[in-house]
Amino acid sequence: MLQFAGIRLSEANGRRFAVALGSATAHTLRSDVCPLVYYYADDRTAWPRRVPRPRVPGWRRMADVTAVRPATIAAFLLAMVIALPVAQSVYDIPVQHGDVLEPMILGATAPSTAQLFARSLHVATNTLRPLRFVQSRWLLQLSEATGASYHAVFRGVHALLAVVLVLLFVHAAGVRSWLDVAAVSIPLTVLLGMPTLVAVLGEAYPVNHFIEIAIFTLAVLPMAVRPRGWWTQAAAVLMLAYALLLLESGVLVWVAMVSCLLVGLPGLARRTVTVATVVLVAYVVVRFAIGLSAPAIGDHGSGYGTHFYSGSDLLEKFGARSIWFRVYNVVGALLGVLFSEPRRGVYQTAAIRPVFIINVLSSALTTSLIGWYLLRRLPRTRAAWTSHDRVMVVSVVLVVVNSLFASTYIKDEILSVAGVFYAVAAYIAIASLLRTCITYGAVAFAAAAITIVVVGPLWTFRVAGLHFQLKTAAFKTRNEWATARPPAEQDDATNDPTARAITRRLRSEAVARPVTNVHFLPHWGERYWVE
Amino acid sequence: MTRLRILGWLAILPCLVAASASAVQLMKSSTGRPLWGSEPETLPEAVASRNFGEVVRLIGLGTDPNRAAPVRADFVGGAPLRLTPLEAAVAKGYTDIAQILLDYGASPDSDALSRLRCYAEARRSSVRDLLVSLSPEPWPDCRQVQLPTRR
Repeated sequence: MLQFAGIRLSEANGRRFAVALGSATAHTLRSDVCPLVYYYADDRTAWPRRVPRPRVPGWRRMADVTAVRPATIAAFLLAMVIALPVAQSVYDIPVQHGDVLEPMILGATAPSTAQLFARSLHVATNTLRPLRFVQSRWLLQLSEATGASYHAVFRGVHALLAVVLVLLFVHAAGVRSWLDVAAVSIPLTVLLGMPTLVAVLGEAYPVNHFIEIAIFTLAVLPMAVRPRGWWTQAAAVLMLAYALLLLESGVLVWVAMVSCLLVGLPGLARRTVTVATVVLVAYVVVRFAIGLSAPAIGDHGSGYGTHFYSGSDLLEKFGARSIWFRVYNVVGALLGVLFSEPRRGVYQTAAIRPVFIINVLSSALTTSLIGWYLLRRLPRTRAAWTSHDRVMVVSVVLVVVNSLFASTYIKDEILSVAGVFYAVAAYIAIASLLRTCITYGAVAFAAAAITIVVVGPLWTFRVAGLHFQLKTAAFKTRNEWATARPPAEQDDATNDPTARAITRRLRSEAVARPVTNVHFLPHWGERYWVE
Repeated sequence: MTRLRILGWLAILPCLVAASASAVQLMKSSTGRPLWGSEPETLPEAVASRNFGEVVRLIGLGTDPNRAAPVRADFVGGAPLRLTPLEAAVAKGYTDIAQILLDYGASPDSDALSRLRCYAEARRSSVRDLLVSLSPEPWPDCRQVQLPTRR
């Protein structure tokens, strides 16, 4: 019999330990993956002061980590069944018209990837996103090599990313028991129903890089929670470097790594986080060396009060350095994630529509569950935190820090990481609610049951709205291509033959592929799903 | 344990419903009849629903932009009709899509143009100016023109 900080482990067959956590939530794990015991332990169980580091080959630890359980399979199947139609709706949206053309044309016309990388450093005055262009080039090359259409390649990657995000979420949740399956089911709908995800699935430039950042940031979590391995350390740093060169929001990968280390999750070494910090500093130095400025007020339109203002209007109203407007944006972004209101900085005061009630009610109840968990668990000392407590803290940190990114203007895509980690926080809170319900009095149990009964269907309804919004986006995007310019002028769109060929091909692909006519969608959908 | 089961089922049930709906959606998509309705449209129906992409696709496939075709109920008014694409555009007051039809070769003869003008008049449609620009002919006496209705 072994004892780790309150967890009693009994040895069986010389290879396995059963975690004695009470009758309901016992897990069986191999002895050489001891830290997993702490991660999947009941949230009443304390985290050990010092986590024993297993000295076994990485491949063997991986095999143990992926040890298949029926509940785990069920959770992944559930996620897959829900994610596939979403991916299909994402795939049906034509490649976007407008901004998307710049990286594609630049990617296609550059003589080499290295030259494209160098050229892309000077494309904009306040952004450093070379991999955005390089990715476009890779996908164009893939299209040429395989003979697949641009639509198949670009939209296929976007749809694939949607599936990866959902499956990674289930993986990060670490589902091991049927209780976990029940607990992860609502957060799965939270993940897909968040307006931040609707935005990253509905738009692409030509692949939505915000969803890539969300995937990279979420991927840090299982790396930090599971036992250390050299490959996870290397992968974490590589992910950070890639994310930084993709989008400024890539900094959130570093934030996730640092906060995982600070809360005491065992997977990422201090040395790894130090290297990651060096990478980040190098990135900042390069930005200064190139002479890139920080995003300023007026770069984009954003909401204030009850109105949406254009960039120039905001500049006129607040100036370029208004602290007040920045604070307003950060608070608005945070509230938007936690309560689904305001949207893009605009507070609704006119006629309240059903979508407003559904979104605010579902988000407020979910946020209150997260708040309940935080109040109940976190006043303890850090040493007494369980792994779920630590992941909850990391999630809260990421939601708050991501909101800071919206200081100059609020856009749902920018908050995609916050949306994902809000769902993670919801998972931990709901898992805790389920695990501790046997200890409740009748009134508390009834309150918990009512909350679950209301929250679950509301988020499920919002997921149905995701399909509605994606179908509508497909219809609008195809129409934009069809009305791009009168037929007689098409060949004069640009003088560059490559750009002209790409534009013409994208247009013909978009028009040739039928999409759902919004006329056939439910007429009440606008009122219940679209803000 | 009973409480745990109750809460667990309450939590998972909506997600199971969503998963079932998703499975149905996947199955129906594979049979070519997706859950989120997508039905074949005639050119006037595409016009009436402002489906620009479908308008351009159908014309590209060889559909005559001057030819009348059936229009199901709820596209233009509450009853099934038979309209030309331009009539559908004028009936709904869509100047932009009427212009696209003209760009793609729609050319109403004088009878059709009179009907269109009267339809625009009857519907107080904003495409009136577009129709005026098509021909310098004087505005017809709409009392003698049969409006496009059920044929």
